[in-house]
Amino acid sequence: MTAAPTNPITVAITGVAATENPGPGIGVARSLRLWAGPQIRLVALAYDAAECLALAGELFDHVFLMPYPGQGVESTLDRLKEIHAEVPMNFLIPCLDVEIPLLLAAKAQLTEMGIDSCLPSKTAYARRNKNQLSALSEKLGISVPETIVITHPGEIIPATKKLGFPLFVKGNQYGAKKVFTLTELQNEVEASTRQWGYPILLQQAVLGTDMLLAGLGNGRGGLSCGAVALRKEHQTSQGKLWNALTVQCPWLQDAAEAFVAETEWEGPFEFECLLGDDGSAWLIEINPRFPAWIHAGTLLGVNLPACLVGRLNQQEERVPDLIPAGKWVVRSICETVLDQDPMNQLISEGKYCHAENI
Amino acid sequence: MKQLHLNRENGMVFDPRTGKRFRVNETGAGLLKGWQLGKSSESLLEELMEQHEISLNDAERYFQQFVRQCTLAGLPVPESGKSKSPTAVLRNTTAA
Repeated sequence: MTAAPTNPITVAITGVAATENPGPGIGVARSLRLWAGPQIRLVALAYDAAECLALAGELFDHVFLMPYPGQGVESTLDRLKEIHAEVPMNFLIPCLDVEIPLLLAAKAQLTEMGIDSCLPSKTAYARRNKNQLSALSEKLGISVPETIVITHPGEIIPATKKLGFPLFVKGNQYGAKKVFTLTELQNEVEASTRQWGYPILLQQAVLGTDMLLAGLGNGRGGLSCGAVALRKEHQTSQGKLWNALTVQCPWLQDAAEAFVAETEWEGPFEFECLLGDDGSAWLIEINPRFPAWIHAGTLLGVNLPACLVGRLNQQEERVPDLIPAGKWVVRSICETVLDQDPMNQLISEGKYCHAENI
Repeated sequence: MKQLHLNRENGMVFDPRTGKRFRVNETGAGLLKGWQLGKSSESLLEELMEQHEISLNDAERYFQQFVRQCTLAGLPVPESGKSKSPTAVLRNTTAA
């Protein structure tokens, strides 16, 4: 594991929703706290006060409310400048897909402010977009289920004739829903385009078990600090991981290594794949961030968030550790009791600070 | 095959490449362990005949059934188990 930092550092983390659909930021923060203890100051950048109440004063030293990414680069930068003036940040780890293009656009300004981040190039980011995944997958030696990009309602029926039912309706950034009839499909397309607009992707439904891999690209075509792979055993009603088993899956590892080599990916990523009962392997998505289950890897000896911050902090990289296969990863919930009321402060002032850190 | 995690006490088998888990009986566990140790099909057949006091034909039938089950389950059956008739191998060895 990367050695703990010897200098005090402050890391800002997004995607900190502590709800039934947890954001990756929680796992990232837990991993960093486990790695560096009080030597690291953690700043949560949240979009919704209610979503991060449980973390206020527990895991994070500071919580700040941010404008939603849809409000644009300027709005995000202005808020980051305000926060930075109050709590100077060394590093920023974005944990939501939609933030990556925003931060890529603001990279120069962030560097000028002294905030470093680990982001892929614009080209690499675009190549793993869902509507370009088929082209990329050919280079990675793994298949993508047949996918048709829809830019107009008139293209729906011809696509269904090719794909048949059931199929998945996917937004280019977020969301995936399985539909079984034309009516269901048309309703879902309408709902999805209302929220995200076109294009919409229609994808052949492939049966199989979810196989997931989290990794960290070093920007030079290799992986940093190894990778963590899981087989999803049980999921929540929202399709989120509940229980999983660690695996050492050669085709998944090979595809991930081919991905970082092909795109020279820099920063965290997650491979979402399916393993068919007949042994066939399918690539479903490549997410440009850590997954919400990343802390499981840390508990098993591969702390990828620490590795990322260690790289940004110019620390020496260690030889990758190997995750043992056959370990159960179980997600559970717990209650938290707080002495202070973080909600009022968060809503009225846009920030919450643990009493000891004021 | 060597990568398989085999618990002979409870018959649990875990394939670390796929995450699939299986349960085998004592005989199946013995065969898997034998493959992991690199034992030949003829030696495993001999062990089957001895342990269960069965004929070569019965041993071969059970052996092939197990190989088929392993193949269907996606387990990495060694080439000696898949491609050759163990009886033929045994008979050849016996003849030699």
